[in-house]
Amino acid sequence: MASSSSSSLSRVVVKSSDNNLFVVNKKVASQSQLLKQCIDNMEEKGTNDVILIPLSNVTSNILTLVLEYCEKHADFADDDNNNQELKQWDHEFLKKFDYATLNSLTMAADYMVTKSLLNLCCQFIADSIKDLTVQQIRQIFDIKNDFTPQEEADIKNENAWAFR
Amino acid sequence: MSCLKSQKQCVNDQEMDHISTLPDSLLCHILSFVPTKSAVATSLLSRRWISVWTNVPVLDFTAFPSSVYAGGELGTETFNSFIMNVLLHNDTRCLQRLHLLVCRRSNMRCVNSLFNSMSEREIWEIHLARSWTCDDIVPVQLPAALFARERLVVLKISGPFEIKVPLSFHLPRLKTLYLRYLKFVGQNVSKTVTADCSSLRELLIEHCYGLRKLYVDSPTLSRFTKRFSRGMMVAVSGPNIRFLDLDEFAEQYDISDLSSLVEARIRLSSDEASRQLWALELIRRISHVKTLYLAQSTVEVFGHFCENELPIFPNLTRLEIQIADSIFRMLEHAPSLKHLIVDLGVCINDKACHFVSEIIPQCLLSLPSVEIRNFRGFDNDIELIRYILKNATILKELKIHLHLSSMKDRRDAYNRLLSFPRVSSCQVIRCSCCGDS
Repeated sequence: MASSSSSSLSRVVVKSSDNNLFVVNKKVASQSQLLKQCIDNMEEKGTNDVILIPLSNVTSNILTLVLEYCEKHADFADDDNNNQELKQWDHEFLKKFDYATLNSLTMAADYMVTKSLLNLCCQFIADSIKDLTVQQIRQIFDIKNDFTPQEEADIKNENAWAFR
Repeated sequence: MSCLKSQKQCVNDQEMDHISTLPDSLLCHILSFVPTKSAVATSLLSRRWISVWTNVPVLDFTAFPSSVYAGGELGTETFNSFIMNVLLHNDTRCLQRLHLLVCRRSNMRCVNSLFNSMSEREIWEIHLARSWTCDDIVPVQLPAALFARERLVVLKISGPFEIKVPLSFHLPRLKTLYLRYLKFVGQNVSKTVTADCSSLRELLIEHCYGLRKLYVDSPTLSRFTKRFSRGMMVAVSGPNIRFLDLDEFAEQYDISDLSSLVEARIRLSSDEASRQLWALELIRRISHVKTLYLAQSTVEVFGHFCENELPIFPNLTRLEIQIADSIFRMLEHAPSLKHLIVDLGVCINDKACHFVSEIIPQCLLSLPSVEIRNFRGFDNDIELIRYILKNATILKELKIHLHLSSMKDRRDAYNRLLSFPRVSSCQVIRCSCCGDS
């Protein structure tokens, strides 16, 4: 997947918060608007050095996943319609993770401005909560009910219009 | 990768579960994918969640508290109070999407006040539909204010609704417009209604009626579909249209620029329509398509006009065509054809076997693939297949969908077709039709 663009850079190096280095093809990196912006800025300055982009908010195990996603999507970047295969891949990709990983992935997608991955994660989490009761949602996400019984009753009362 | 444990990103992590540590903006993003009813329910999860839903930039009224579905006074009252209370709490100025499913006629008053109370808010996408399980299917009137939202990007309406149509609607940012199950009413229906949408990409009109003439002039329009919509005369100027689908219910089509067209599906109302000059003009305008569907009435245009008036389709590689008297005249105009699909599921004149012409269309000599749909074993069906097998020199594959109910009939018909002489070494493949096993 060598980049044939006329610019000087074909690869960048991305550093995770735990100091691991990842060499990334430019076309793959461009799936993240954050990385793309960094590359564009460097190219404008006319530098020929390999650029290093530190990501202080993303651990290497999460960064590996984001880059796996970007790599797959860079392969499909040129064809606009025929993405049935890609959709299937997206679904299989997310299915593997527990909610803790999904959360970190969502944060990383947001931070790295990878909009399609962010939407994908949010949609996936949304789909898993939309038909559940409050109790069930607390259970699967391990959310602690920190209301007193009185408080909970008050909120239910105030918003009675929503729960009839 | 050497990392064993993900770094804690929040000091509260010890006490808080993972999802609750996400910032409000991301929680809102997640909740924008669920119906508002489910979003409101998250306010009961924990303190962290009490007011998250009030900033979600999407209002999705497609699910309601259960008593709405019980019907009667209570149902109407719950519907109204649910929507009004949501609007009261969630006053996001810029809504990415408003999705509303109207359950019954008595909800319409609330729908009108909903749109009135939102006149100050910016909305990018509106989806408005009536539930098919609602009490009646008589159209109810929609507020005309729907067409007065300059920031709107997507508008999808699916009735039955009545709509007082403005003489022209000015939606400069609109990219997608779906109008389904609408009855157009008001003083403008007999005039020419102009859609002034300078960013429009996709226009779909389905099961609509009441409008006399629609004029669409859009330099950006890429897909235009008109299906099951009666009595309308449609004039289009769309130099960027790539996909065009026209039904048989229009009195006339007047299309001035289709220079980008790639795929078309054309049906004309009658044999009478296919004799009209505008029909010939339409055929000429679409003649550079790659993919084409022609209904029987449209094929007859090729029978009604002289050879020198008819266009050649130089780029046409895939043609789906209903059997018609003039089918072979049409084929003579498609020299590059690679894939031909003939639907035998419509009747033709009794003496129609004259499609078996002596002049063999050029394309038959270079055609690798033919598909026959709805084969029912009539004389015409059999003659057509005999003719193709006899004349298509480089045919590789002939697929036949047998529309015969008994297994024995299907086997007999297939064996008979196999016995016809072939000039090519093609495979004859038998497919079962939908509807039989």
